[in-house]
Amino acid sequence: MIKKEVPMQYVWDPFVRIFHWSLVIAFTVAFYTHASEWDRLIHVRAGYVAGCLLLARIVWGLMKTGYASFDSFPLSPIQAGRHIYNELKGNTKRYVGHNPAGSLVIYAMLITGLIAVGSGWLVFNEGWLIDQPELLQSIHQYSTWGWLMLVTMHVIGVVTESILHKDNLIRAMITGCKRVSKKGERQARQKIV
Amino acid sequence: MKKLNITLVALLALASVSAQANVANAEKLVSIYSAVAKHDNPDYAGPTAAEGKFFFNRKIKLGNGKEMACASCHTANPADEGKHAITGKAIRPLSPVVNAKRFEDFDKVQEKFTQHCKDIIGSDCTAAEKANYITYLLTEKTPTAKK
Repeated sequence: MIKKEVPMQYVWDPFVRIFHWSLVIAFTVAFYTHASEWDRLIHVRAGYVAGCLLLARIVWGLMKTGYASFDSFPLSPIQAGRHIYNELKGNTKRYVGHNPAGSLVIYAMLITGLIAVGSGWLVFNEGWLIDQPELLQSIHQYSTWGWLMLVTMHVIGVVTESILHKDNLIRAMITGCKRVSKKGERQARQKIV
Repeated sequence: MKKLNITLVALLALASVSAQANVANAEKLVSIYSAVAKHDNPDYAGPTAAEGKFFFNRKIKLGNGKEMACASCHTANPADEGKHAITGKAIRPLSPVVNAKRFEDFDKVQEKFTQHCKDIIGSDCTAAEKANYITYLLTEKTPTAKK
């Protein structure tokens, strides 16, 4: 039997893909080097890289960049809840870009990430701006562990969606392409402004 | 009940801004570490500042051939400001007598203590060493410049 070629469409632009994997690397390096004083400079630099990446992504999201634009995945906790609820009921909708639950996690990751980097910056420059070392360290710890939790949720979501919709979302973040929605799925597609 | 909670929060807030409370915290940690040391070794005689001072200045040979002591970053006087060996950033005095921001949070002190021991010695310090160390810190009350 000849395997039918699945029609693909271009979803993630190069900026988003490079941003995504650079952030993965920066976060991993920062996480791996967080404890030892010997690695302090590497940790700090990885953190600064992550912070710059996040800021650049936010600027990119504010521009008209198609699926990468914030317009294409509005923040809506109600819709996110509904999406999860429908998914649990087995009545899933496929979104070409971010689904509402994924969007919620993305926004949470952007904000938590900025808090993590910002607090880390203040911890490193102790006494500067806010002179509360212990408080800042706590904020830095909780926000980074929170960020890790969000990353876990993100990965679980990606794997779940990949299985449910017979998509390979990890490959999509490398190649930028996802399969085109089938006829029945089309009405579930998110409107792009 | 609510009134009690408010009073407790107010007391906690008061305790955290008071420098004296941090000295008390440090002393409490000494007694905790001493108790652990006593548990580990029934012959343990209690912490001494002299042993703490020796430990503080003792140079330890690292894997890369360099020699490092607590004093390398924190200077020979824990009441003085130190300098990070890698980043070059200033480190506030270790002694809770001089620096009210030290020993505010038990968990953080224990976590940092263990991490620093791992960084330099390669494993966690013993409870006896930690008790000596803090006992010594408490005896350093004057920065070198004011001596």
